Order: sequence, then structure tokens, then C-alpha cells
Amino acid sequence: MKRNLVFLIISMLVFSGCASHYYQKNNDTVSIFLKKPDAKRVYFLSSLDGYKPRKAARINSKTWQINTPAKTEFRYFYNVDGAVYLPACRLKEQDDFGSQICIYIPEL
Amino acid sequence: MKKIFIICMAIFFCAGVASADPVEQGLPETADEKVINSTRQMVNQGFNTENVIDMTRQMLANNFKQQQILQAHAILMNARQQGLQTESIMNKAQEGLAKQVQARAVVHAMEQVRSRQAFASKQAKAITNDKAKINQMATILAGSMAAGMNHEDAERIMQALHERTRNMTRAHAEDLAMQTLMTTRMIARLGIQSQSVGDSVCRALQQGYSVQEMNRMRNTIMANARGQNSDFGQHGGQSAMGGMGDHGGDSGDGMGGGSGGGGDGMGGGHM
Repeated sequence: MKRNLVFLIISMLVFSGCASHYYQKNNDTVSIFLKKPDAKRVYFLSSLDGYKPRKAARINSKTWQINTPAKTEFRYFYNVDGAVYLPACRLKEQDDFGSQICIYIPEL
Repeated sequence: MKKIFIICMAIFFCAGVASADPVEQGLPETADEKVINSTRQMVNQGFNTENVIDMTRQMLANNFKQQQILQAHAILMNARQQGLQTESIMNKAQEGLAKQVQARAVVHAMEQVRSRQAFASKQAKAITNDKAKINQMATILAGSMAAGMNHEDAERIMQALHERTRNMTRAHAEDLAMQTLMTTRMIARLGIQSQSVGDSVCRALQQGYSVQEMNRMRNTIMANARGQNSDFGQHGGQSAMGGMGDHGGDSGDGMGGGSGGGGDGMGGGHM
């Protein structure tokens, strides 16, 4: 009973929210989507390649997409029109600069 | 005679190119002797040449002072000498440069990462003396701390682990430690407050959770997270979580942090 309670407490994490940022995994690649209709330029920066900016592609009037390898975990953020932008991501950690950074893990 | 002269010149030229210092070649002319020597020292210590030169070049381009670059180098070299993982420290520097954070904030953040690694390494040594496993556990525990676990709660978990594994074989103790730390990190990354993470994991250990149960707990949490609406956003249902809280609400707006950024594209100065 106690074990179930521990399970339940930890499992009661609700991740509802707006559809502003989501993933689609396809074998060893993950497509990451960001809804930013007002943005002119969106860059994706991750620990996979030393945070070199990669230009995201606009796929419709609201959504930007980037495809990246998905075999290992990585940290990432965006640069939207010249400013650092952190989407509402599920996993994150402190960035030691007063903000946070998103984490992608393949198992999720 | 002319042919011999040309051949000799060609040999000298090739020898010159072959012995060119990659550090001097890779750094801009603005790099002074101390920075060049320090970079060279890092390469000699075994750091990846390209990564070190790239990091140093970016620091110079972002107007880091000589002292700040030397400090950054020293943090990495000290970490290596202490037997710590340096990849996460280097990543932190790269992140700070990409976010165009102030130089002193980058150096400070690198030291924070090193400090977490050192603390986590010390904790891991209480469980195992296998160097590879120490590094692995330290990286995972340091990751939990980066996600918000404080020293006190990290120590609590390690203490609970130590007690739980007291009568286990080394291999079994290592397995349980690994699963426990991975689960801890997962929960911390989901935004649960440090004390709540500590309470839950310690409770699980005190109740005798096995390696498989700890693994299952983490998988269940991940499955729940996957099975939620694929959208991310605010953590809800906090009142239903009892004592577990989480980080404050996540705004979808730019979080700026210490970066400047401005102008078009990726340009813009740094603060």
C-alpha cells in the first residue's frame, strides 16, 4: 500500500498545457516544433554541437520545425529574433545564468 | 644546382607547415602570449584541441579579458586534475557564449558546474571505488543538482543509499545506486522541489525498493509523462500532489536570462 502511495505521489505530475512546443520522434531523429507565429527568425541551439545556431524552418503560419538526432540526451534553447527563448518544455534545469534550459531525453 | 635549391626550399617549406602550432594557428592575432600558452597547456593535458581552440576563440571574440580566459582554462584544468568529468564544464562555457552572457557569469557558471561535479564525485565515492562508475554516478547526481536538488537533499539521498546498500555486494550496491540516482534526476528535472524529491526517494529506499522497483518507478513516471497530452506547459494539479511542489509556473515567454541579443538574426552585442 505504502509503495503504491509513493508511486502515486510521484506519478501525479500533470503536464497539461498549451500546444506551443512539442516533439515527434521518428527512429533516430526527433522533430521539434515551436509555435511562434510572430517570429521572423528562429534558431535552435543545442549541446549536440556546442550550441551552434541552426535555423528552424517555418512549416506554416504559426509553427517552426527543426530535426535533430535523437539517440542521446541533449540540452537546448531557441533564439527568436535575436533573443534567447525558452519554450515550455517538460524537462529542464537551471542554466547557472539566472534562467533555465530545456532537456531532451530519447526515452521520453 | 637550381633544382637542388628548389627541392631544399620545398623540404623546408613542408617541414615548416608540418610543425606549425595548431594553437597559434587557430587563435586570432589578438590572443596574447599568456592565453596562447594556457591554451597550449590544455591541449598538452589532453583536452580536445579543436574544442579548446574554438572555446578560446569565441571568448576572445566576445571580449573576455585575459584574466577571465585564464580563469576558464584553470577551472577546466583543475577539474581534469581532480579526475572530474570536464565535458559538462566545457558545455556550460559554450552555452554561456551562445547565450551571449557576461564573461564573468560564464566563468562563474563553469565553476558552479565544477563544484557540483566535485561534490557529486565525493558522494559517489561512498558507494563505489570503480572510477568509471564514480564518474557516471557523479554526472547523474550533478544533473539532479542542476535540475534543482540542493546539497542537503542530495546528501540525504546518498546517506539513505549508503544505509540501504550496507550489506549488499558491491555490484548490487552500484546497480541500486545507479537506478536511484537516475530516478532522482528524472523527478528533479520534472520540476519537483528538492525536499519533495529527497522525501520520496528516501522513502522508497527505506521501504526497501529493489533495483527493478526503482527502475520501474522511473519508467512509470516517464510513461506518464509521455502519455500526457503531447503539449507542454504549466504544471497543474499541484494541490493534488500533497507535499510535492514544483518550480514556479513556466511562462512561454522569452526568459532572457543574462543574454543581450539584439539586432538582426544572431547578431547583437553582449552585455
